[in-house]
Amino acid sequence: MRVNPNYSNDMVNLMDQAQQAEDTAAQQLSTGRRVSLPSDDPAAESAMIAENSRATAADQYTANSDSLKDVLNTANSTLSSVVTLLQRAVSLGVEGANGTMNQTDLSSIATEVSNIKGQVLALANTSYAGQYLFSGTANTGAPYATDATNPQQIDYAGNSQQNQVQIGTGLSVSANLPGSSIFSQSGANVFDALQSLVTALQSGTSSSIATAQTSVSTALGAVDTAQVFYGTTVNELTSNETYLSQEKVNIATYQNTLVSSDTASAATQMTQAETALNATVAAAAKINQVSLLDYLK
Amino acid sequence: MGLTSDLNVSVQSLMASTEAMDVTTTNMANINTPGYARRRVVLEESAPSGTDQSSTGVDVKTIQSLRDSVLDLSINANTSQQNLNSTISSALSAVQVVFSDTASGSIGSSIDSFFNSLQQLSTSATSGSLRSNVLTAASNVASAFQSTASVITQAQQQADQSVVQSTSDANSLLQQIADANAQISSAQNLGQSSNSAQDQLSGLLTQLAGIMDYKTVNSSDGLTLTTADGVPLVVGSKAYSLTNQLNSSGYNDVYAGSTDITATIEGGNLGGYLQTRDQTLSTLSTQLDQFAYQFASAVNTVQTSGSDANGNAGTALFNPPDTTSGTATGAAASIAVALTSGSQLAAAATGGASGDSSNLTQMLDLQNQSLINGSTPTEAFSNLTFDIGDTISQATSNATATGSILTQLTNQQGSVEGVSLDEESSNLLLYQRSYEAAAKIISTVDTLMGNILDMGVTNPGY
Amino acid sequence: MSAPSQAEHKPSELDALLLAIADGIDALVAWDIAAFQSAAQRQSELCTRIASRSVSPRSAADITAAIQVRKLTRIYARLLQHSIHWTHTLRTILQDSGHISPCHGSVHFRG
Repeated sequence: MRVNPNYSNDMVNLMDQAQQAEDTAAQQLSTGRRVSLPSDDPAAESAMIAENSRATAADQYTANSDSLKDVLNTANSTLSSVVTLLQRAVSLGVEGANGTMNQTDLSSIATEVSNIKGQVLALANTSYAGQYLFSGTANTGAPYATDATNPQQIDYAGNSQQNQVQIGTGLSVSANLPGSSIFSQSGANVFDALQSLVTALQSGTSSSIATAQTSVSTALGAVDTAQVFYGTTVNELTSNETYLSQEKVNIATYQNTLVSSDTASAATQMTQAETALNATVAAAAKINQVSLLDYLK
Repeated sequence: MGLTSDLNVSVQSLMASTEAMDVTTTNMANINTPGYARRRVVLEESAPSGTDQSSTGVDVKTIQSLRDSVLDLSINANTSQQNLNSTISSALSAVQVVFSDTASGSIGSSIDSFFNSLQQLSTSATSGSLRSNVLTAASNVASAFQSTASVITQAQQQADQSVVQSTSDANSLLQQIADANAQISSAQNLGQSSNSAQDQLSGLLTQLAGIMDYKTVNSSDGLTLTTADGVPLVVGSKAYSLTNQLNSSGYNDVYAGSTDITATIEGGNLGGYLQTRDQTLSTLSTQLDQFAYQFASAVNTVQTSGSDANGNAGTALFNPPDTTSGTATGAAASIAVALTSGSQLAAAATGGASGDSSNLTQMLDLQNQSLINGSTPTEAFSNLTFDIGDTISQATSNATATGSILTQLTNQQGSVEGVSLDEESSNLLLYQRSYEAAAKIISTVDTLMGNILDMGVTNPGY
Repeated sequence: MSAPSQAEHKPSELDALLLAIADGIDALVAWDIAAFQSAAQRQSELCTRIASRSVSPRSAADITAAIQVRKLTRIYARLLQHSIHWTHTLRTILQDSGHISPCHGSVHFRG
């Protein structure tokens, strides 16, 4: 068995291959990617697609988290203002119940408490980014309004539902707390309690003032307890964001292993490809000069 | 051996080597003629003379002849394989681009963006602008399906045009082969040399192999060519006509005479175009239609089980499918967004309050459900990516391997001068044993590389 | 085209294995049994060395090299399989020398 003297086809073949190897090496060097098309590495490509999906979802979860935190923080500080107002109402009630004030003063305090009730109402109807914070899921309408027939009564127009927002795969948090779980809980209705204090102060009876002040205290406690939801949820979102950024780093690192070319070896391959191509071209040139005598040996 | 015998041997050797030189000269002049078979100088040992039994008669001509025929057959078969694979590889190259991870507007990335837009909406379900963004994202999904379907159809149509061209080329070659057969036959009948026509025939057979695979039979009729399952193409000096006829899909089938031979062609360029058109791309097209149909159906089902921003029952987001159409065929090319306003998105549950987003949660859950023939949408897309990438990668690899085989076989087309058949036979045994021993190393290499690569199968960060 | 800057990448055992497989392919194509045996020997030795060393942590260069080895091995295996088949075919022809009738028979290879 001997090597075929018909070299030209072999040479063309070898030159094609050498050229292709050089082109590939050049592309890898310039794009920084070993894999640009599915056929370069089908498994790597299909994994890249899955990882891209995770990466973009992680970005979205982070964005969700940021939006939600804004809403929750706004609600939280609104409730802090409510708590401050209610504390003022309680101390006014304590003052009024000690029996040392005359009716004029008591009426004056009653007015202040009535104003507090109005401010609390306004705060309970706070909206942010086009949604009422405390209406449950009926958030296109204000949660609280004065009753049509009884102006001293405040009615709740919202519902008791909570919306869920996803912050991770299979992980979601409640996005809101309904007013019915804050201001108008059964046995601890903020507006009723404030109204009863106003009425008691106007009546001047110490014992009824004391009873009303206690109910405002109870309502304050209920609001305080409810408020915890916001701080806790914000904390959960914050620690989840840390997890999400770590996940992004993991994804990026993994994607790098999947498709990036190692610069050093890409450069080496480039050099080798160039050398091979040059050698093949030189060999082809040389062979075309073979003489009949060489051929006969 | 006596002096006379020596002299005889010397004279004969001298004559043989002169002949060898003439042959070599002719070889060089014809070196670029395709299929030129080198005139082999076969040295026949002379029959034993007198009582001297020192040399035995070994007729190598027959062996050479058989070996050369087998060599030609192998070269032609491998030529068919190489062209088949390189054709598949290049015919699919434009299609794989839309499945790569960097392709903008791909089905995979647009579905990701669609779900992201729903996520965003869930933080503020009544927002007009966020609802509008969802519709935009949905129409991008529809565009992605449409453009992918279009790329596939275009590739099929191009393959179809190539089928027509290749059929014509093959048809012409069959006629030329029949003509060469006629020349060979008449030369032999006249007792003349048919070497030149034989060489021409050999070249034509290799060219034909590059276009399609076939079987050859040598018989008293001369050379017969048939398809793999026996449909005649050339019988002696008669060539059957290769033509195209449109089939029910609107593509060209291949006929030999009046017989449809489309399904039996599995080699050469023609085999490559047919396989690409009728198998790979046809399957991909069906899978794409199912993908579009099942995805849209699932989204529509959730959409119609909720309430929109005006409190009305949700209607289908995508069309098709609508409630009347039951088949997935053509879904990818015609999918479109049916809603005209973001307010029609059913974010709330039926009877839910104005700001309720519980139906959105249902729609978001679709991202992780096995909607598409047992896969999630992302898995379905990444599987299609793998499939087409793997098909091309295998074809390219096979083409390269066959190319090496062809070079190796071509290197066999040299004369074997003065090597006894026994010696050559034992050389071959050495080769065979060495090759077999080396083959065992290959599975070791495979395992080792698998160990290195398999560690990266899943993201180690999870 | 100017040469790229000096690579810091030192040829690894995987690179050497890639070269040994490439040499095996070249030797097969040229029917050079001596070169083939030498290449196969090197492949075997390199496999032993690669198997014995720890594979973690994997570098990007290792992954690239392993993938290239795998790709080239596929081609090598195919060519080798063909070579084994071909030598066997030839041996059969030669061993039956004188007992084979002139070309009559159809052979269809499906690669």
